[in-house]
Amino acid sequence: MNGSELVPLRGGWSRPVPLLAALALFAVLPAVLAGFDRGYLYQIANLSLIFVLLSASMHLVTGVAGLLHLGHAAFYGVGAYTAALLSSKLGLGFTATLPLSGLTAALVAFLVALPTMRLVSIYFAVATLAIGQMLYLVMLNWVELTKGPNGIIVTKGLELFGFSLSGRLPTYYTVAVVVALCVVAIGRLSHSYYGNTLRSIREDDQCADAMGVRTVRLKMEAFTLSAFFAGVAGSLWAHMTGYISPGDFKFSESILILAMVVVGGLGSLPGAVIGALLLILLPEGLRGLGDFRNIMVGLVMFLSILLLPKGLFGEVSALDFARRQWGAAWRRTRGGEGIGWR
Amino acid sequence: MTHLLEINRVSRRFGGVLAVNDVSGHVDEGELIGLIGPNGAGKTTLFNLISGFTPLSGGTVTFAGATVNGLKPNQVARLGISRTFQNLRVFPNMSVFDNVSVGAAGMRPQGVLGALFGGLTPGGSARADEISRRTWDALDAVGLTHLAGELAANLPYGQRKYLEIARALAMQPRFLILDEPAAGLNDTETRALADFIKRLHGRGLTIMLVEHDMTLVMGICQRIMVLASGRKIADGTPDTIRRDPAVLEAYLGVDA
Repeated sequence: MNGSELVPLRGGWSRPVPLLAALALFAVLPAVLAGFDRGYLYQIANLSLIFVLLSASMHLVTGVAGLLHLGHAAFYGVGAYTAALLSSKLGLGFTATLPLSGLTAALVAFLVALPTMRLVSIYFAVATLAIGQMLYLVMLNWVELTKGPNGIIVTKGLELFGFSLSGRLPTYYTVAVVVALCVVAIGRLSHSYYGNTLRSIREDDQCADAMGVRTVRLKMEAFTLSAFFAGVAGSLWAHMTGYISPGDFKFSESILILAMVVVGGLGSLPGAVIGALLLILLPEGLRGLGDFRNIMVGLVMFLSILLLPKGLFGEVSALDFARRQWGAAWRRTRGGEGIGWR
Repeated sequence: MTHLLEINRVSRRFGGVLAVNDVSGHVDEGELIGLIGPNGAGKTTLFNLISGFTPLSGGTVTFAGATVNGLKPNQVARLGISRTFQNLRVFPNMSVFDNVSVGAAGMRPQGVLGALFGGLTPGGSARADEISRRTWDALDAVGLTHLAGELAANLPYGQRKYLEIARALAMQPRFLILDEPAAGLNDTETRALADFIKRLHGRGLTIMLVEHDMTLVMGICQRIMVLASGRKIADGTPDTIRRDPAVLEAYLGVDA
């Protein structure tokens, strides 16, 4: 056949409802929160967005590339501490610390990945567990640099090239825009032929190797990229809350992010987003239950895995959704099924 | 004249066992060649030595003038050698199209920047288009186009075999090695497969068939190499192989 038969699938506006609804929700949300006039709700909204980014970044390495990563929160911490230290010691603002936090986390991830990337399955998981613990202990015990368990106060709020964005509403929109841009980037990476080669490593890395896929290099890339986005989330967190301490980045946070990815659906980006929103908003919504709320959260997670092992929004439907929603596919003939990536 | 693939006195030892013992041979451009032998003869080991999955204990392998020894499987693949697996290894949780696209994208990687900005740059779009076209071409070749959107795990056994071949074809190899493609197929399916392999060969592809079963190989191959107990015992046309006393002894255990 010749290539002229390939027609891009026109998407986006053909089924705009879910996307527009989501955009409207995020844009209108501040107005609703302003109605309650409580900083607490803003904190929850911002925290959800940051965990959406953490969950999406872990989706790339664990969901798509299939590497069980048990130390993700540590790279979030590396990003947050980079932002806090650059801002308190060198006086840098958010505009500079945002990319630098991402790059520092990515650099640390690259260095620790060099010796660990050849490990497979459970051995890799244990190695990332150890890396996470090491980074956490550095944050906790290198008192001269990190002030240890006392944490660091970050006086500079969000800003863009000196223009302050530190009010409640500007902070929310800044966090939302940064997170949205990062999620779009992660979407491009996972919904592409590049993403397909990462998936092939998850499915059968020896077989992928025989197809010419540079498996070790791609695993390094997925690991490093996910750390970059976690570092960006860390910078957002540091400037948004104004105070960070090692407890924010301990092992249980890594497990929480992993749970978000799994509950939402391994390999599914929309699933990772939904999982993050669920596991942040549900415990907050259940505060009225007092001590029972953690049991309820556990029960919801347990039941969702039991009844929907492929997640709330499984990979197959997620890929189909991405192709239709964003027209991210070629189709063979006009009117044909949208397939492949574009 | 130089051969496309040249195997020179290769050996492979696993502990005390010599799985492949001092085997030499060659494959010329455009050949359809069979590699047969009884169970445990070392066929799959020899094949793993060629495709980079198992390191050599001794000897050399060269392909199109390049030394294959010591290369990783993905480097061997990028030289133009493509393989299928004896026990089917499709990517079960990916669609048929996405499975085959890995063959194309493995050889012509899209890369991080290509994935991020592919649609915005002419070069990036061209790469994505090329992968799409190679994938469709390979699906057309095996007749799985109508199942492109189906999950690989949902295909029946016979179609998964063709899916695996399509994935290898999307790599656009110079040399295709099929490891026991007829295993698990009934007679009708085996005949259809034989016709399909002949068509592929007719399009100019060099193919090696590794088979345990003689009938498929005898029917379509121009030349056959026979392994037994890690050694090459015969190399020739199907007719000479059929009458070769060493082959008869290895297969039937008769003293011919």
